[in-house]
Amino acid sequence: MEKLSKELIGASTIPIILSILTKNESYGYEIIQNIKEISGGKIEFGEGTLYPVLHKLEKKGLIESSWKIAESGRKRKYYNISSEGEKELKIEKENWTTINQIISKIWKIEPNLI
Amino acid sequence: MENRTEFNLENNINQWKQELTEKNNLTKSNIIELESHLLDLIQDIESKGLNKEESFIIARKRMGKTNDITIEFDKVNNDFSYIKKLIPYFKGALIYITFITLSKSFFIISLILSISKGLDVNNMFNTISIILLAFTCVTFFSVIYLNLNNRKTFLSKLNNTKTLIALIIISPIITYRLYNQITALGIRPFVSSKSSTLLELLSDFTSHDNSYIMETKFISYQTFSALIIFSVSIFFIWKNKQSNRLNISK
Repeated sequence: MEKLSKELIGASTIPIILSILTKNESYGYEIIQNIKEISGGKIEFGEGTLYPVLHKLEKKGLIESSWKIAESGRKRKYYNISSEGEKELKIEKENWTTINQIISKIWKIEPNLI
Repeated sequence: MENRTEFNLENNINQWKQELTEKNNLTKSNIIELESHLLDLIQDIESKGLNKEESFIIARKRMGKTNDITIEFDKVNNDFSYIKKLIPYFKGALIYITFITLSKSFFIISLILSISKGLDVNNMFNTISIILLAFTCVTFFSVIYLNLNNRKTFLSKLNNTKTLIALIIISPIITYRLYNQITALGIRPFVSSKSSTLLELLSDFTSHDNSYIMETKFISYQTFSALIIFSVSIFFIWKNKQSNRLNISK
């Protein structure tokens, strides 16, 4: 199984994280597990390096965070998508659909990304 | 049979956290978040049948190298890391101010002690001043040494900002009170060599020009001690920068 290039992962990180957070609020570890599962292991983050990305999104106002006590009794930071984030995700979806359509046209295959 | 020391998960996690704290660009909240992630990972790996030590080693590896983590965090914590890099310099300035204010108290204490001991005021004053300043220098070096070795003992607490500020506030109050005592005595009539009590001796002393000469001497001791502290600090900064450069190139 070949992993995706760093550049491609970098470009898709924001829409992937925002999409995961639209379903439910989540924390770093869970987000990484989700990404690994959905991508079938093709996207794997350095576990410690996801947080700077989350904090950057938070600074931009695309996600919000709050500290909660987990079942284990440990403090855990949960992330939630903000209304700004939802708008951004909509734009990202349009952009990725366009890219998909362009590439599919070039390769003469039917676009299948919704 | 090989005798292995028992693996202590808590100690190892604390050591990892210490490594992260030493880098200048992670906030406390960042470290709590990373620790929580590491613990989740360890728990997950342990549930697959590995022991605590193995789980910790794998989890730590999966978290990424400390340098990689800090480089990524530096991109978002820019302002914070800049302020945190300046803290040692502020602390250095605080230590210096503490040293100066303490020295002033030492001057008065030396004066009172030497006069109270009677005969050879000049020599006694010199000896006491040098001992007190040497003590300050030794304390300062001990603080640096203990901090470099990460040993949390009483001396390393002296480096604490709160302690330094408390010393800066309390020391001038003591000095001021002692000065007042001497000045008040200076106004009293000259008692000559018949004086026997400490107060009378002080009065004798202040009526001479000795106080000026001693203060000048003390300032030269003080400058000498400050120069030692300054040069040692420069040496440590240079050494630290060199080892940082080595770490980065590695």
